[in-house]
Amino acid sequence: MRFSNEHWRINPLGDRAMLLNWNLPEENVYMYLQWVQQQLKIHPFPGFIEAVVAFDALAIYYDPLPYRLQAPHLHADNQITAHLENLLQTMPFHYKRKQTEIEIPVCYELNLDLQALCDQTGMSQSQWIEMHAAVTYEVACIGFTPGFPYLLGLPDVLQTARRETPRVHVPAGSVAVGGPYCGVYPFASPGGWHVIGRTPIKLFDADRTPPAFLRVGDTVRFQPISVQQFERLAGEEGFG
Amino acid sequence: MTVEILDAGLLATIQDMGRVGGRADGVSGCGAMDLPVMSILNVLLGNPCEAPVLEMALRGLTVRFQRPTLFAVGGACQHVRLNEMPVTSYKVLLAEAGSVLACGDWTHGVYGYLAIAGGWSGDDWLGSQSTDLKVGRGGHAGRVLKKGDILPTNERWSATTLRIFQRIRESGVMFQASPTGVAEWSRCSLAAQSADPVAIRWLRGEHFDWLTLESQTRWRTMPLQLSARSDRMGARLQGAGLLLSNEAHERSNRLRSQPVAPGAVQLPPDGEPLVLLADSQTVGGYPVIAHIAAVDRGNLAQCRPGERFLLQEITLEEAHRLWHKLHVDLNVMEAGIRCL
Repeated sequence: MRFSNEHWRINPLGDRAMLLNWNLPEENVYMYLQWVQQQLKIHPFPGFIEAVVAFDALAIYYDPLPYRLQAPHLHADNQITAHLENLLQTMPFHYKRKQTEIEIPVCYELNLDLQALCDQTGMSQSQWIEMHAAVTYEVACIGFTPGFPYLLGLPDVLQTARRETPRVHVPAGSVAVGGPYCGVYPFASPGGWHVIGRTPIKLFDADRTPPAFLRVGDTVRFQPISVQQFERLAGEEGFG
Repeated sequence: MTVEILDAGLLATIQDMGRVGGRADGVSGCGAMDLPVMSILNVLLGNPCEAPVLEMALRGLTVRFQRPTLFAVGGACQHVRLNEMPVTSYKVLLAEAGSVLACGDWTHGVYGYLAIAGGWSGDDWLGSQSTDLKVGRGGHAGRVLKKGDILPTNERWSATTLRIFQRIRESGVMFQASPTGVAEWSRCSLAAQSADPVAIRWLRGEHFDWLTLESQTRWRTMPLQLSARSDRMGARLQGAGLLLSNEAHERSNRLRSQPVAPGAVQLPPDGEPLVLLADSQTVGGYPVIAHIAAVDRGNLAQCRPGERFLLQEITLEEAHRLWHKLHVDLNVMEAGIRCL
């Protein structure tokens, strides 16, 4: 199978970014987009700043000046599209990125909504937790707040609509589910998802390089821990 | 050289051109809300365009200079006084040691800027000195300025800045931007203070045709205004009442979070568009109906709540041509300053 123009579309995202949407119904489409993201770093076009992968989209942020100064009669978006098409033509078909599997300790006892979810599904808490922790999740997007991961893989039976009324305050480290996703709130913030536990890990540490604990493409498994273990680890992390 | 904050105004932060390279980690770009004003002030002072400036929202702050220096104010700044003497915007001024600059109250615009010789010296985080208020890094200790803060400045002035300093000191030469030159890029400048509503240039967004035809016309023709619920993260448009067509409504419910960019205009379910600005999130799940052109993001942010403005659609090519023209104008200004 050869990747061709019918598999993607590229459109301007305002005047300083482009958005590449991938049309293939691939499960791990973001892996291909990460390859493109990597290639752009190695072979940047004039004015390229950075690229972000989120689900089936790749955003490319650029400064229009270098292309304009180089060739004012050519439209920058056409030039960027041509550059991307060149890169995409060399993309390997059987690309399988080395995946980093990350274990995230989670104290399910420190939840806010687990019983309500169990009441909805008719499961016991230990059944719910067992199902949740059995999955290897994939990070498909980072956003909402710095370091916030959208994790794919939540079993259908655990999926639920967002809370009707978002909470004003969700504690930092809260592990939550909303719609088809599992997520972790790195900062205390308002939140519309159901909080099912809490991790002592700092999902975002401004003094760490890189500051986000998770990146698109990582795989995550949740490791149940006790409240005592949570308190000990939280203390080590300097967490409140 | 340091500067002491005697009155911190309402919301003052150190900003530069923004932080790049962090969007994949969900880190916002931040940076000055009005980049053209920031650039003009820096060029006037002989600084690189990207030297950090002090941004003040809604009300100016009051500072005392420890040592002689050069400064310039612009953007929304009005009724600015240096030791009780009125200060002209977009003009390089010499402040002697101990002098006090009061950036006043203003009635037009939202964001005022104080640029200084060499630029302010903020904390660097991920390669930028812009303040990231969410994370608490960059700028001055990652926070809004407070009374009593002592702000360092960059004492390594450029050769141009040194020469400007000497020429003002010795022969009182004036370094001032032409009002018409500034007015082309900044609606806050004196020349721009006319009764006519300003035209904000925009580009079509991916989901613009999800709007009903009636809403598309409203967007294009109706005078709009910002609500008071506008800040560095985003500006809410008030009274627009835009609606999606029925099929689009269904599709919008299934829309996943996508990367966004400052200037993007999202349409949340309540129909009041939200324009993403400097401190905005990096991804969003609402339909994107439009993008404010980079040259006008500052002008939009400078609209006070309730102040009406109109929209003017442009092409991507035109948006790039305008950004290029700003760059050219800044170069011309810089060359002019070097020759004085």
